[in-house]
Amino acid sequence: MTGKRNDDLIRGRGTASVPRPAEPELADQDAVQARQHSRARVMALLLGAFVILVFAISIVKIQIAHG
Amino acid sequence: MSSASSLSPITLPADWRDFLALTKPRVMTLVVFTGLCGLLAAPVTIHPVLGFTAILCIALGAGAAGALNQWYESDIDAVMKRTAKRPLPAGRMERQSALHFGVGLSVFSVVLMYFAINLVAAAILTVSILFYVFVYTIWLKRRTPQNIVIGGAAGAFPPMIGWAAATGDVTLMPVLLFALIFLWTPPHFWALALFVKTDYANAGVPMLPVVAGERTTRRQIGLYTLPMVAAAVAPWWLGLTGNLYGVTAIALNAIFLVFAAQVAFRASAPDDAMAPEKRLFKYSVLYLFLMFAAVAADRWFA
Repeated sequence: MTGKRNDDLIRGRGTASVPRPAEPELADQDAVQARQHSRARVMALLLGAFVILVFAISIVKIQIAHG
Repeated sequence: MSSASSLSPITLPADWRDFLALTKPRVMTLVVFTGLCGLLAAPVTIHPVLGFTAILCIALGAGAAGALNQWYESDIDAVMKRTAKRPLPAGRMERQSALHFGVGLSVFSVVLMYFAINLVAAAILTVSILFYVFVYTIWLKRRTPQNIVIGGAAGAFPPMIGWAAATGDVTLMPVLLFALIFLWTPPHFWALALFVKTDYANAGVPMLPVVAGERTTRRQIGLYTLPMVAAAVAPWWLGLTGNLYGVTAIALNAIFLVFAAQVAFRASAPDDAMAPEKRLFKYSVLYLFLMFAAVAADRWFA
C-alpha cells in the first residue's frame, strides 16, 4: 500500500483515486506538493534538454550523410 | 499507531537530489573523464555533438549501474559509516524507486548510444553495466576477497567505450587503457580497505584486509602495482604514444611505486593513523586523472 501511494506521488497524481488510511497533515501535503513541483521542474528541464539534443544529433547526422 | 513524524518519510516522494545521489556523482567524474580521454585519444575526430552524446551516455550508464548497486546493497550501506547517509539506507527513498530509476536509465543510455553513436560503443556500454551489476555487485562482492580484482573490469570499460564511439572498433590502445584501470583498481581499493576495514568487517563484506589480514593485503598492493606500471608504460614502449605521455607516465608511476612500497613494506601499530595508506589512496585518484590527461594531451599537443 505504501509503495502504491509513493508510485502515484512520483507520477504526480498523488491524491487522485487511491484510498488512504490516514490523511497527512496540512504541513505534510504542502511538503509533498513542494517536492512534486521541484521534481516536475527538473524533469521538464531534462526533457527540454533531451529534445534539443535529439534535434542537434539529427542535424549532425544529416550533415554527415550529405557531407 | 503512526505519528506525523513517522508518516512524513513514507509520504514524501524522494527529492531529485536523492536520485542524483544514487548515481554516485563523484565516481562518475572519474568514469566520464577516462571515457572522454579515450574518445580524445582516438585517431579519428568525432563531431562535438556526437562526442558530447557519447560521454553523456557513458555518464548515464555509469549512474544507472551506481543506482542499481545502491539498490542491491542498501543493507550493507546501512551498517557502514561511509555509506549510511545514502538515500536508501537513510530512508529518503523507496527501494522500488531506485530499481526503476536504475533499470530505466540503463536502457535509456544504451538505446541513445546505439542510435546516436554506434553498435560497438552501445554493446560495450551494455556489457559494462551488466558486469558491474551482476558480476561485481550481485555475484562477487559478498562472496570473495577477489571482488574488486575481477569487478574492477567494470570501471575499466569507459576509455574503451570512448574510443569505440569515435572509431567504431577496438584496437590495442584502448585495451591497454582498459588494462591500466583494471590493474590500478586493486591497489586503489585495498589502500582504502586498509583504513576502513572495520566498516567492511561490520558489513560482512569479504574485503582482502578482513579475510586475509593486513600483511597479505599490503603484499598484494605491492604485487599488483608492478603489472599496473607495466600497463601504464606499455603504450609509449610500443610506440602507440609519444614522449609527452612517456615522460609523464614514468614520473607518475615512479611516485606511485614509492607510495605503494611504503604501504607494502610496513606494519600498522595499534591506533595507527594509516597515513601512508591514505596518501596512496588519494594519490591513486590523482594518478589516474593525470595518466589519462597525458593520453589525451599526447594525441592533441605532442
